[in-house]
Amino acid sequence: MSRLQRSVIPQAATVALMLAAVLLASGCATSAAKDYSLFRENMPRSILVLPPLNESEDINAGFAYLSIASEAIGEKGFYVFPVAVVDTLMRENGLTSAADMHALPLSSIDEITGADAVLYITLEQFGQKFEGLDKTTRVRARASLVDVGSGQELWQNTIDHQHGGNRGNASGYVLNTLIAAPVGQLFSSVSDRVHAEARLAHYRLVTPTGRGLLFGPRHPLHGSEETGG
Amino acid sequence: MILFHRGLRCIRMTMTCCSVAVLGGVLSACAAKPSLYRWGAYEDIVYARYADAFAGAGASAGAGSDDAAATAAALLEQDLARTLEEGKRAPPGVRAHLGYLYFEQGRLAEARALLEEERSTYPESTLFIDRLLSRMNLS
Repeated sequence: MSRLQRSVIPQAATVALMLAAVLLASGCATSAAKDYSLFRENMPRSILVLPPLNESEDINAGFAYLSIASEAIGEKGFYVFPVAVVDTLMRENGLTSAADMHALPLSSIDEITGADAVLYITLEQFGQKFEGLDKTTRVRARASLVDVGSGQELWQNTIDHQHGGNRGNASGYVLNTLIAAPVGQLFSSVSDRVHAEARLAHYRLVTPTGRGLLFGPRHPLHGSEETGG
Repeated sequence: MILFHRGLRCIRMTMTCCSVAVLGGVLSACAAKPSLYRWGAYEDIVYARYADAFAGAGASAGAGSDDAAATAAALLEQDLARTLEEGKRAPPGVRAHLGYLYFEQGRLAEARALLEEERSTYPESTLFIDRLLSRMNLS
């Protein structure tokens, strides 16, 4: 009997831990509900996505992320300004870095674009890391949506997205087939692993109900959400 | 005892299977949502602009950014045509991006037409497009 207890208890404990983890994980999605009242009251029609501030070691992270940022936001029902055109215009106006662009007064952003809101993204980590035989892709980012008229923050969120090792593989495989690059062969060299994971991280950042952006005016579900204040 | 062990292992396996199934369900639910737009090649073309993927794409020696813009414009043009042929909506920014690529090649009439189309499709872009047109001396 004592042998039975000794061998069973650790397993029972594992099961209990797993259950707890599942409960915690599902609890997080609801208990960390955001206050959406400001967002709702100042619902933007259009969002300007500025080139992300890049704190990661990958010098290409900023534009890699910028290039995948539009779809998830557009599909949420907002007008998304053409990211590369905006970037080009700003560079022509002497704003040569993302930091310069992030420091631009809201009045100037209003004057140049007429955007209702600006999305400031900061990339904290971006890239692949080898640990022994395991290769992990990690994208850690934070985002803040600011109302151009009032300067108030309407929404913010963070994401720490990891893929690799033995843990993420099953889900990662499914997700990667869902986000296959549309141009296929032509871009096989550019739409690499990190690019795909960045797209996924961005989706997880802006789309989840209760944590992501509200549905914008161009979405059929606009105004239907009951989340938050 | 062995049976008990197996039972527990079975529960663990079932739980793992369940979480995979739930995840799969969530994912397929996401995938099944109808899209507002057909995004096509737009984001890849934006990426390629920065990654210089089209540099040297032109046939002539010393292919520069003009050739890159031409290659990108040709691809985006085809992609936009396909979107419209399929009866789908082109997403925000695509026409403006293509218009800008035309502008970079000096194809001003086409640039203006595309930018005006962006503006009429997405009135949220009105101020931005007007600014762009005046900067290009096309307004």
